[in-house]
Parts: sequence; structure tokens; C-alpha cells
Amino acid sequence: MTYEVRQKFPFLKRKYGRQGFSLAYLDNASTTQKPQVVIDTISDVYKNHYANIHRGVYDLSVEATDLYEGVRAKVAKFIGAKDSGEVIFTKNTTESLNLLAYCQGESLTGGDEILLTEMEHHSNIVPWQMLRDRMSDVGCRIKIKYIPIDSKGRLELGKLDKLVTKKTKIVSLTLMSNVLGTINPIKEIVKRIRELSTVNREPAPLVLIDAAQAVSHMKVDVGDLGCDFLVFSAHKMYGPVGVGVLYGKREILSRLPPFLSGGDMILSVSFDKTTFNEIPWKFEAGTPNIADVIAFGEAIGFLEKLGYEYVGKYEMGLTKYALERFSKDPDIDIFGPKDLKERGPVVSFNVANIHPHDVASILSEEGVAIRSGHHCAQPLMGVLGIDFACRASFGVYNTKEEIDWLIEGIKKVKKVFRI
Amino acid sequence: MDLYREEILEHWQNPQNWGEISAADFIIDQINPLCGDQVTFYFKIKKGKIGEVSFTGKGCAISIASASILSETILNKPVSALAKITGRDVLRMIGGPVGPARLKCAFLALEAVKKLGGDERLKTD
Repeated sequence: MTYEVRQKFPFLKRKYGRQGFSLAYLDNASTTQKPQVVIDTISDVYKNHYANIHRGVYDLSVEATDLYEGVRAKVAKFIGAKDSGEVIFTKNTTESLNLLAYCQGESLTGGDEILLTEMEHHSNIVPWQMLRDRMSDVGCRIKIKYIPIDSKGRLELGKLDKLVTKKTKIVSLTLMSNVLGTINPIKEIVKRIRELSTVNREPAPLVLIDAAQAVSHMKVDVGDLGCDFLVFSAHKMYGPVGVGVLYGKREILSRLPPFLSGGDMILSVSFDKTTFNEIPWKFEAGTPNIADVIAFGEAIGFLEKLGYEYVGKYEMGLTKYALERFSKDPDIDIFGPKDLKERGPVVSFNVANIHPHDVASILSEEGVAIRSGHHCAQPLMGVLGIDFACRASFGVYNTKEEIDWLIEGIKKVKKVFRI
Repeated sequence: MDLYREEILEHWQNPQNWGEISAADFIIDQINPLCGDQVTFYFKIKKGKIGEVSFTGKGCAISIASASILSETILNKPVSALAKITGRDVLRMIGGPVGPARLKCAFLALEAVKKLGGDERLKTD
């Protein structure tokens, strides 16, 4: 099966490095490579089906609109949304989060609290801090709190009861950490938050789930998770760059003001005022990323054809193998849960006192691509007591052999640095 | 290209002029926002020259080694000469190219040192 999967990815045909092999691409948490079908679809749209959408009455425009809206329906089904109006296309996860921090955030009032976690990516921290500062400028004090993590890199859910108060209006957290690999028990968290709100006799806070890391590895169903919003990017799940998704419950999205304004998000415009379009178009001002959205449909199809049961089992097999091999080397520190049931296929580590950039540079010469740095999670780095880490993250085309190259590469790193 | 040549590893293991100068005339921080690498340079100026220089920071072998080598080079040099140091000079000092992905690491210390050259407070002295 791995062979068949690898055949679908043209990037593997390019030979790298000294070995004359394909690159061992272990930076999938950053972005994934693209299967041929996604690449071909982008080209096919521009060759055969391209026109602006929601505009023309001519057949080609209708055709492009149908293809675009067809993917919206596909995404809705993919994540278990009730209707496709609940799916908004953005540029990426970051834009989805910013949209919510602007549109939902400004309904907050003085004293309200936003609850995040210590393991969030900068994109789920900075927009809320900026919201807090904007609100503060108009005399409205918003507080941001963080659910701490324990020594194994799991959320300390025992502290949830104290952290969720009557003032908590938004809870925004990741389904899977891009550094620790931790998969958070969202269902359990949402259930507890709702119970606490009942006790507090307050409406439950809105729960936003960042599924950017999780969505290529596990089935994500908004009904099952019980969230109000869900955000993710196409490019981390074998789809094109430039397409993000924001899911929101219909009644909540309908209440929100628009984000960007201009064409396509209006019902009517006069010199004095504008009435806005319905969801989802209210949030999609301007000509969207038509071809990439259509190709994104093929990425979903690719994943669905493989099936999450296969994907999860295969990738966790690689993760288990990597963790086993890493743990045999006393110079390698691994971050995040060791228990495979609590994590996904993202493994962060450090090699002795060697800076991750140096590790990654030497590995690159050996034909292995890993990520090094703070992984856009500087607050988490502080909690872990480190400044930087190396990160290997796996996808459906990776193999145990590539992990062997990684291990061999690390031996080389240690040799160069005389460790 | 041998990135981890002897000279770089030597300076990484034993960085020269490492530490703080307690009564420094100038303390300059420089951060590489891409990776979070950071250096702090401490200077004491004597008669328009770099009388004392030291640095601390956190970074990769390339950025620490180039800070170390650069600090040795600029000691006792006139402050006015700092603005003239180029990236090419730094690469020469550290013994050759480092490849495009690591230029930022190699130039982190240079950016800090150049900031001193352009410091307004120096001009009023």
C-alpha cells in the first residue's frame, strides 16, 4: 500500500542529496506534499473550467460555481457540518482564527475572559492578544487565561473547573499540538465546560477548535467534538496552499458581523448603506481562490479513499518506530506524551546541547528534511524550558526506512559535534 | 561546502569574549525573528575605539561562532569602521560560505555590531 501511495506523489520522483534517493520529507506538520490528482486538478480548472463564480449567467461561470460550491458541500460532509452554509473558505487557519477574533471577539464586554492553552500555536494566541489590546483601547478589559500542561505535555484538565468562570466567553484550543503531538480530549473538555456553565447558570462559552494539525491524521467531526467553531488548512492535508476552512454553527455565524467587505458579500448596496449576503458568502468578500478550492476537493477525496483507519494506523506505526529508536539514544530528549494513544505523528526532540538548526542542516545534507526552531509556539517552549526543538512529523508517504535515515543522520550530527 | 569546519566548531565550543561587561557603555540586542536566535553585545568605548567587547546569547553553532569571531575582529578597531563591515567580510572571517538557509545565522552578530556603529549617542560624544 505504501508503494501505491508514494506513486501518487510526484515530489518523490526528484532525487536529492548524496544518496540519489528521494527526500525523506519529515516536515508534514508544517505543510504536506501534493498528490498528482491535486496538481492535475488545479491545471484542469484553469484549462477547462475557469471563470469567476457567483457572477456570470454564461455556462462556464455556472460550471465553475458548481465545482466551487460542490467542494463546500464536500467539506461540510467531511467534517459532519449540518449544511454547507456553515463552511466558509478562507486563506488558511490563521485567517480563520483572525476572522473569529475580529467578528466574534468584538461582541465581548468588559471583564470577559478568553481561555486558551499553553500549547497553542502563535496563530491561536496573537489574534486574541490583539483583540484584548484593541478592546483595552476603548476601555474594555478582556482577560486571557491559559490551561497549563503537565510534565508529559498533556493539558491539566483538573484545573479546568477553576479556569472556566462565569466570565469565560470563548475557549479556543488545538485538537493536536504542533510541537508535542498531544491529542487533546476535546469531547471531554467540551462536556465539562458545558456542565460548568450549567452550574454557573451562564450561557456556555463558545468553543473553537484548531484542527490544523489533526485533520490529516484523524477523523474530525464537529458534531462528535461538540464545538461551535472549527478551523483548518487545506495545505496540511495534501491540498493546495491558500485554502483554509472556518466551520461555525449556522445560528452563530449568522449573528456575526462580516469580516472583509466588498464584492460577493452583499445583497444590495446603495450610496448610503449595504445589506449583507447570507452565510457563507457574507464572509467571502472578493473573488476567492477558485481553482485551489476545487483542487482541495480532490485532497479530501484522496484522504477519504485511503480511509482514516488506514492513515491513523500507518502513521502511528511510524511514530511508534521513531519513538522506539529515539528512546534508545540517551542523548535524545523527546517532548510530548510517550503513550501512543495520547498523541499523533509529530515528534519533537533535541539532540544533546546541539542547536536544532545545526541538527537540521546536517540532516539536510543527508537527504532528511525536519523542522527546527520554536515552531511558532514560543510560550510553549518557555513552559518546556527550552528555546528551540527539532521536529519530525509524518505523513502517509513516509516510511520506516526514512526514519532509519533520520536516526543515521543524528549519529552523523553527534559525530560532527563530537558527542 | 563544509559547514561545520573545525574553526566554527572550535568557536562554538569555546566562544571568545563570552559573557557580560558589567559597566558596558552600550548593550545591544539582536533577534532573528525567524528562528528566535538572539545575541546581546556589550561594548566599552575608549577614545573612539572598541576598548572591550563581549557577548551572550542563544543560537546555533553558526551564529555563536560568527559572534565569537566577529568580537575578536572588532576589538580595538575604531567604532567608525563597524559600518564598513559587510556580510561578505563575515563569511570570510568564518572561513567561507554557509549556504542561503544559514545566512541569517551568520549575520546575526553583524547586525548587532552595525547597530552600534549607527547609534545616535555615539555621534554626540
